[in-house]
Amino acid sequence: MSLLLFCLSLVLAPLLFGIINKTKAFFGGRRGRPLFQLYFDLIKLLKKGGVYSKTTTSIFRISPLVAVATPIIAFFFIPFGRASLLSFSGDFILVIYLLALSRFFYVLAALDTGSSFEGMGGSRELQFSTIAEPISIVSLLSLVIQTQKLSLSSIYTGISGTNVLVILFVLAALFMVFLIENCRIPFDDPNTHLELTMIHEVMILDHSGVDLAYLLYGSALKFWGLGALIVGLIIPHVESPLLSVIIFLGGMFLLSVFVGIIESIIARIRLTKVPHLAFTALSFAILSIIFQLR
Amino acid sequence: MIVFLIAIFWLLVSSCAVFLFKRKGASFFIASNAIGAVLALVVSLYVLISGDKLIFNLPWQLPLFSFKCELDRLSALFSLLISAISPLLAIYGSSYLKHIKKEEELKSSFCFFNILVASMLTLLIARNSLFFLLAWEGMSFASFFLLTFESEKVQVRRAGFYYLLATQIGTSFLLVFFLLLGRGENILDFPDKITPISTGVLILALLGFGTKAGFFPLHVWLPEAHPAAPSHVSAIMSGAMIKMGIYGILRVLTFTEPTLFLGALLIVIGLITALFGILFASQEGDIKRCLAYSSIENIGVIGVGIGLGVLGGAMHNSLISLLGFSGALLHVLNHGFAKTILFLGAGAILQKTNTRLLDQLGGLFSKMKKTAVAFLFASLMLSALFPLGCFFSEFLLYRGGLQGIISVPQYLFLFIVLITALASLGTLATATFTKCFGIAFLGESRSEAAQIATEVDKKMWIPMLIICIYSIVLLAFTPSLILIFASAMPNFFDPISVIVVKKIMQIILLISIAFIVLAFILYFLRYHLLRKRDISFGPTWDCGYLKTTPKMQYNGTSFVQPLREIFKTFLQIRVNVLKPQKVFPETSYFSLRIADPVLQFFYIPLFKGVEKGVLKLRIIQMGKLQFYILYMFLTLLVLFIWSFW
Repeated sequence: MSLLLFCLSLVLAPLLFGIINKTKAFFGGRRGRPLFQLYFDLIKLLKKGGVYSKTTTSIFRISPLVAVATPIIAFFFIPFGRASLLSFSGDFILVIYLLALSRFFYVLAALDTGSSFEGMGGSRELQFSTIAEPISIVSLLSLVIQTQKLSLSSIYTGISGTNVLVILFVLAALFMVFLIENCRIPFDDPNTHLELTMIHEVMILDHSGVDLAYLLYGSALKFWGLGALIVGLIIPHVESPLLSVIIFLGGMFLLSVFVGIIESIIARIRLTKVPHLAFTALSFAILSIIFQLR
Repeated sequence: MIVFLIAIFWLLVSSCAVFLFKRKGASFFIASNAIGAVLALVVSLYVLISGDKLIFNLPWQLPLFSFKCELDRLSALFSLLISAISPLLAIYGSSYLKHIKKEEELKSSFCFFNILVASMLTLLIARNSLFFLLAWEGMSFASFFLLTFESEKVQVRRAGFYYLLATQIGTSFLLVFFLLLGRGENILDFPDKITPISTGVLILALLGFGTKAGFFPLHVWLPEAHPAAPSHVSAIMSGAMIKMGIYGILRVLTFTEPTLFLGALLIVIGLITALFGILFASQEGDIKRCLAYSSIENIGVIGVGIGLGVLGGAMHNSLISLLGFSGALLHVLNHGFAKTILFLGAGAILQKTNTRLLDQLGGLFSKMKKTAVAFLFASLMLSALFPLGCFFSEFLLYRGGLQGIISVPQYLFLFIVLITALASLGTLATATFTKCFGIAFLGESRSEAAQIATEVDKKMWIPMLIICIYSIVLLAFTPSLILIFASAMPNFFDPISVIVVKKIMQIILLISIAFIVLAFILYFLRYHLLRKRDISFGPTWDCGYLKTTPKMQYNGTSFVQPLREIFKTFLQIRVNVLKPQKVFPETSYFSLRIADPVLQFFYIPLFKGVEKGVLKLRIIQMGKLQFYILYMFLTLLVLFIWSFW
């Protein structure tokens, strides 16, 4: 069952971006892009050659590989619904550090091009991650304290029947981390085409062809992985394996719809206010721990 | 054991002998260092693998002194580090120094380098307080002379003076500590069993060893000393010498009872040191100062590990204890290797571009490929990124904290703070090293000097790559090392925990291999896809702007500006700015200065205050001989009366 979910995740991850776009199109009174647009884009890109900037070095070529490899390895440990393929105590630290590894190479590839836009994206990305990573660790710590278990799989299996208030606050904090990491509104606008306003997209400006396909697929996988951590907190626990797969997939689709709704009704906040909002998430996470200390 | 002592003796003798060689001084230096180091390395490996304790006692009685030597696993771990990197640094150093001064003037540097290595090795085997202190002083003075190699420069002299001052203050704390430890016995040997030592005395030891290690607030000499020293000296100082302070603390812990207070104190000091270090490292524009602050950060991490170990011992939780100490010791080795590579790389950059400022570098990757690869490897390691070494050691610390949350809920707050702080360290370290590597090696060159740089001599990049290989070998042996770490600190040893920790390390190692295999599969997939297709090259996307210059790229200072904004209150930033004023702008400038706050607001006012107070005592210095004879007479009178009291 876990293996089935693992393979399904690898295949279905690009679908989520299609769902988000359809939701936004619905709010805008449009028909929008096809649901499977990202798949078409990936196939198109995989058929192309490559254009490389003369300034770039082999680091630039390595970054897309890392961007795909890290989420795939992380998927071994992220529980999709209930149990994950592998687990060991403390594996959520590994997952977070895998994210950090992909970020390291993203930023290096951005600096490699020698473009001021990409350097800007890199420096902002690092600022956001300096705040976001502690939030995710504190939220997961809160879950650890709540369930007294140390691996993601055991935490998410034992989550039902725990304090609702704690879960709510952790959910809020993790959701904000999810938005920051996947560069969604209100922290970053994935649809902007002005380089000065981009953070994540600007770092991949110079990638093309197969590299870009890797990067897009990697970000879809990252969206799925972090989303699974959120969905796992709220879906009910059922005995039948088939039903749990359906419920999990349904939860992921609903999450994408929710992200699409947020993107349609809120605008992106001012760049200088992003740390403030992120610190709010941190306080949610800390509050969730405080609720458990008695 | 005799072999080890022969190695030390040979190093001491050859250090003097190097002056005899008129022309082949450098080759003799490398050869002598290599022989001594290899002998020491072999003995250390033997002790590590077999677990024997090698003992050697000479019946040589002097007041307080005895020639008592012992090489156990704890010492062997550190001597492994030193003997592994020392000959490589000798090779690097001989080539590096040749570009600074002529052959004849290098001999004193070679001499002191051998003395430094010999004294560090002696330090590790000494089991008598006075013996230990002699070796400690030898190490301090040898490194001082190595540091002030370019003593014609004012900054170097000033840095050397700061270093000497700091190390002497530390040693004086150690002297008092050892005297109090001996409690008036005739011979000050290290205790064999656990002796009760009061907390105040232990604080003295922490102050003394902490000055050498570089804990906050005793770290102020590190950012001054490392940039001034020649690169291979910075490497051995940062990679090996500051670990001697850590060794001292661990050695003291082998004969003290672990207490909760000590553990918590070490954790708190470690976290403060680490956060302070990495924050300042991320803001530094000078590569070597940045690396010095990063060393401070890693010493903090090691301190946290030791504190965790002590805490585990005090709570009789052997798993936490093992996790803490293994993490600390593994980090000693990993950081030792990584920091050495980074300093050697910084030296290579300095030699070829004549500048240490990141804002003037750039685009060096294509020109100095081997240096760049080594530097990248070490940067990845120090950002504690999977799948390299420091991730394993920091993971052990995380796991220790998590175990604490589960098993010891009374101290929940401490463990939560520990884990959160470690997470923040990780992100700040990523920022620092992407800045260091990215701005220096990637993009376009920001100055003429960086434009014309070339690769360094093979005597300089081969040592860097060999140390990279060391790290990879260490990585492969990490699970087996857990048992060795456990027996290094025997009071905290428990066989079940060893198996648990070893298993975790093996799992992570397997995952790392899986990751690298996956990355290669993706690489070959792309290669296969692109093989028969068109690949073209062009300039970077510049949004249609015709005349992009290298100066338009982000540089080091701007890259970390968002972080500067967040941590504004902790960094005392002095900004000197004149903005462009009129329609056709004339001169405008911007400069940024971040001074070390502890130095600025604590030590310098303290020493100035002491100086002012002491100057007031000048009134008793009359300059007339008669008054001095009067003082002597009065003192004798007072002593006479006192003895009859």
